[in-house]
Amino acid sequence: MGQVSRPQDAAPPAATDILRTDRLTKSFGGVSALDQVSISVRTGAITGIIGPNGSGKSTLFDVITGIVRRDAGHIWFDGREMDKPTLDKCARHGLVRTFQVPRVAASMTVLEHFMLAPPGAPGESLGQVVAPWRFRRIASDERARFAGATSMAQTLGLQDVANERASSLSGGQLKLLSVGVALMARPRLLLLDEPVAGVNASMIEVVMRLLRKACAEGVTVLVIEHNMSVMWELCEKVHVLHAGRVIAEGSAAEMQNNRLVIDAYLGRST
Amino acid sequence: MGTVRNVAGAGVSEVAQSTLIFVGIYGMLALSLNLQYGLTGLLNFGQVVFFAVGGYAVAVAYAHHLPDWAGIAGGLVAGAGLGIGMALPSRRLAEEFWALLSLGVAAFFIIIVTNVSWLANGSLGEYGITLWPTPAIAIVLAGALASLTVGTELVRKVQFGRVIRGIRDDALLVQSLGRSVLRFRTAVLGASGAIGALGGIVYAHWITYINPDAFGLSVTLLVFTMVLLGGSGNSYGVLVGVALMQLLSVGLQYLPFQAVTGGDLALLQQAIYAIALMLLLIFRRQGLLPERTVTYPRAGLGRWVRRA
Repeated sequence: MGQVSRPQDAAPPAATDILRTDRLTKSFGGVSALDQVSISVRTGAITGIIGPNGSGKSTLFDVITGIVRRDAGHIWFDGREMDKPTLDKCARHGLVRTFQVPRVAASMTVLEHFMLAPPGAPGESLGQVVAPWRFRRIASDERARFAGATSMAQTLGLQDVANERASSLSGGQLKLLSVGVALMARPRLLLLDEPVAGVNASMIEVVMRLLRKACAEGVTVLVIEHNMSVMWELCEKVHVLHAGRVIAEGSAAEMQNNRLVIDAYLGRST
Repeated sequence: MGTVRNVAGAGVSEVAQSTLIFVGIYGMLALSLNLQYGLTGLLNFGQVVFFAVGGYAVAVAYAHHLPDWAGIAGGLVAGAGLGIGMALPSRRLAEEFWALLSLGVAAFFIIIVTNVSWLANGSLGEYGITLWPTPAIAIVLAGALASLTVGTELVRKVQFGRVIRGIRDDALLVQSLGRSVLRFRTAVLGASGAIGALGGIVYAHWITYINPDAFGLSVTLLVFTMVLLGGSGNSYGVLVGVALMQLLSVGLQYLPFQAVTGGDLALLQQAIYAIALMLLLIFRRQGLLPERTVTYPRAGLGRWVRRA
């Protein structure tokens, strides 16, 4: 068990950082998944997390979004400390994540996923749905959702499978779907867990363009990915995790030539 | 009519009338379960408890010389309240454990009404409850069934339905999009509780007596069979399932089975239900009318959507 530090011991987040973690620690049984992990994500930037399999990248996302409870450490999002985050509370505050294995509703279509995602709607209260005098408002909300969903399907090249159930999509299509769904949820900070794994090269370009566009429109992105060319191209700053620790952080150029990073993760040939 | 008679000696028109009314009553229970299980993924093994709450609200009101409307209002409120109450522990329990909890709630309710005799005369039950005229019952049931069926199909296609179907398929996905799963389960269980209770209220005023025997586990199993047979998630399919099971049960009364079973028709019925359910699960899991995929722009609000 890591030592629990009191809030006043921890460094306050800089005003320019939308997310900051301070000495996050989590172990599963005897395995230390996260060991005093401190990272910061600058508002408006695309930040990367790289590291070998099992280095704790996804666990970091799980701890930040409350799926896994931390043993020790602190998390600040948007200037406020998150004591007991939960997945839905995070999303309501604008911290939206995707999963390494895409989470989808198997019986729902691509369009329905995109229509489901945007927050807050008159059609979400049963009382309003069954009230006839609300019908026009609900219809106009549905119309707006449909329009947004159609354009997202087109952007991601999913227009031909727009009316297919998620259960019939390929692995790469599911990745594209989950990136689209997360963007439709209007995040302020988007945590992406391997967004382009299994996605073909031309669609990777599209996803990168989409992320840059979202970033330009004010969405901050924190991304885990094994595709290094994507990471070097996208990320302003990269954190390198190894065996639950941050072993290096810095610009993409610095990380590519960092001895520790090469030994732990990139290998000689890269 | 007269010449064709069932085992109880009832004529064709009486049987037809009672069959239709039972289709209506079971239809309420099945549509209520469809909302929970078919659309939201809530495996409610205690579905009969909503039916029982409705029936007992009427019986308790009658036992204490309260007017009919008190039983009706009490039943609807208690059904919705119980549903909401059952939603709360769903936050902490995995689906399977919630299913066991629901089974326990139904068993507990029966124990209470059997043993607390000042409520509605304990295990003997309450007799002589006001009989509603058949046309009134028919109108209430037909109206409720029609609006529920059409309403459920509409709700299924708009955002509320998208969220609950998402919860059914993958609750984590829906949470990751900022929705409180508990809030939606509460809404669904509250509504389903009231719908199931309405079935119980009508039942009480049609049968005119209420005792604990009417609300056993077999009712829940029958309602599950109806939903699965017709097509879980498809309201029209569910109605088909209810009608078929009811016809099967009535049809059995006309066949000369006494010779085979020594007169124990109920036993034979149970065996045939079980076989029907097994065949169904082997050959057509999705039911006779499976849930339809919601596609655009043909979906429910398609006309409005297309105008955009």
